[in-house]
Amino acid sequence: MTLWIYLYFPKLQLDRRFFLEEEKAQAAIIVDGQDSHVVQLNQPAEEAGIALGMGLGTAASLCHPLQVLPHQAEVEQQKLEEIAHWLYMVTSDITLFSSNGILLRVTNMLSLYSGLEKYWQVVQQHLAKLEVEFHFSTGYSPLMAQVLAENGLNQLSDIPAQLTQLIRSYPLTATQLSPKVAERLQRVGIKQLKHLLDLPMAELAKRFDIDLVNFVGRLTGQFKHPVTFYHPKHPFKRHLDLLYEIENVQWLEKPLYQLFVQLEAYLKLRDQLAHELTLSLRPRDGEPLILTLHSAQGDYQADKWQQLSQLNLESIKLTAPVLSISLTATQVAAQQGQARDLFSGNREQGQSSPLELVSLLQAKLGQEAVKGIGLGNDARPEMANQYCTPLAKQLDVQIDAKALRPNILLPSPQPLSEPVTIIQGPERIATGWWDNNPIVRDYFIAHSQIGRWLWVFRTPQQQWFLHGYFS
Amino acid sequence: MHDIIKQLQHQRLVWRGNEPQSQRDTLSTGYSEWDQQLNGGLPRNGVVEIQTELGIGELRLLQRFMQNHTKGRLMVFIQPPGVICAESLANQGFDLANVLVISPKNHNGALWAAEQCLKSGACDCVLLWQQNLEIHQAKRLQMASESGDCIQFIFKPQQHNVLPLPVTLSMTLSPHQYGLTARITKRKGGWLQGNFNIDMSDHWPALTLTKPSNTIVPFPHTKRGAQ
Repeated sequence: MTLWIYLYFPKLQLDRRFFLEEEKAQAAIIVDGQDSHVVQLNQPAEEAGIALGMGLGTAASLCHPLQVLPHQAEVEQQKLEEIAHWLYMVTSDITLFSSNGILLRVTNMLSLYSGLEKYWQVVQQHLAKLEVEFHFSTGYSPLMAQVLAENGLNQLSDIPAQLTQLIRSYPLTATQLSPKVAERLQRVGIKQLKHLLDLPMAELAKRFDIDLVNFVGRLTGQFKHPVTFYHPKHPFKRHLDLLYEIENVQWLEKPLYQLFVQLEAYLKLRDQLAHELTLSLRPRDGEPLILTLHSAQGDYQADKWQQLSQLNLESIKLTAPVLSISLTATQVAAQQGQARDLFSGNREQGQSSPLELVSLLQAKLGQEAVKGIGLGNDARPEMANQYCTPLAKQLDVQIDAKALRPNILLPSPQPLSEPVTIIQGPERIATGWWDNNPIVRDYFIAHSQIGRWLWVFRTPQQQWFLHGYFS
Repeated sequence: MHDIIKQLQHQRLVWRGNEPQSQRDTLSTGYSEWDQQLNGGLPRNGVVEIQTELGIGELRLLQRFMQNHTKGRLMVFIQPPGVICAESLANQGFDLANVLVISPKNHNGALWAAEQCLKSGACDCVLLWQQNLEIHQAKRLQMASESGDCIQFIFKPQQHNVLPLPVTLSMTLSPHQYGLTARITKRKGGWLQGNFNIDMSDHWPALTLTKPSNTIVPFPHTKRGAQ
């Protein structure tokens, strides 16, 4: 028989919201349905006397400074996927249940963790980092584990007899049976699960519909319960709803830091570095604002990303208040060891590496403002000298070491406007006929009257241009 | 009273002429005349301000120094007056992978980039083309260059009637037949001398007008570039 663990998250939507420290003391509830009954509530709300299933009016009269939020199933689903993603690091077979449960197949994992206690310890510690409230239980069928967990058993056992005994003591209303079916069963005197389980299956099938038979079969493990296992999709994707609309960019830093901390934990476990993150700021209406954060070196630390994001955020202007933020790691790579010369740093030196410096500069000034230089395999000066991505490894290009080139070129040749003396030349460059960019130029080194050293050329039309300075 | 003087000395606001000259850490420039004037060479770190016309050989003058003393860290050009030519640098034997060119949109961005590069400890030298620099900005660059052990060169056109900046070395360059004429306008821990010529005909024979005549025999005891 396969052993399962069911994790039940009773307050998923409340747990996932971002609360400021001072807001944690405030009562908050989540209401659902046409009658707006309470489905989730936090600790202060509970202390005020609010209970699950209570109407909104009653709840509001019990506690005045109450914060009420509508129930959003899709938000919970998203959060559940995040939890599953997180758990995927320690356990393999995970199934998502409706919007607030996760089922783990334990049996396969026991040989790895050598025992149920050890396994549970790892799962529990791993889950504790997410700070979500949950109930749990084991079971020899998925349904059994679910019923026990949803009733807040919070016990683990791998003895079948003990689990069967436990499940038999619950009333029918504590299960997922619809109220209609439960009522029909109660009318014939079946009030608890033990009464139901004692009935032979064939008798049940005769008097009730197939759903009830399936339920009993799945609960006892006689029928197969089909489950689809979770497979992680995105490398890292987190979403955070803000409690208030944020208009000031600087106030985004704190909630953002929370996401960076999660990213750090995620990357650290995998020994990976993120090179590019996509940050999306969603206003109430309109298109979300997408920001791309780069780190040339790759970073996992929350502080480093925080610093880079601050520089990026400085340059943007919010047109509308932000309601939620989400963070996606778009480029992730394995960490590689970096060697630093122990003896070169005989002086007090800064701590950054060249790549770190480049990412810092690019974050503030933009990608196109920071460039490296590279050689092109071409005789045309414009093609031979081009800016490229910084710190790129150079291709092996043969250059004519004898040819003297100016160290500063003009972006485009300018007409020569001052009298010069020709010192050396000509050097004819006539090429480029194959790619529709032909040039025929006679280059000279010239000396101007005020003492500048210029690189000038003459076209076949006898026009003179200035192309560079021997600075 | 005494305390105040001590405090001022501590903040390096008082300079005493009779103090024995501290042995500053200097690196040879590659030009013996220049080394002599600088008492050994350019400083290891600090801000060097060069007032010059564009294109008279100001960058070529520094290339010897950079070739000799780079330690495999970055060489950063910030808002150069044109495109930095890869061929020319490769010809000089520089590793192009260590060259960074930064072209920010405004002057404040340039200064910020310079400061970041200087204090990162990832750069050997930072070359900045910037016309106007205020005293506090120069001070910040000076501090950053010391903390990152990196030398900062600032190129600017010649200006008159401006306040001198708190830099390690300030020079004025002008063209000369066989190289450059230089004048040190300010030097930390040293006296000012008059104009002197830097002979570049050995390193850049194609870019000097006339060779210095052979009747001038170099002084026999000084070995060129050995210091």
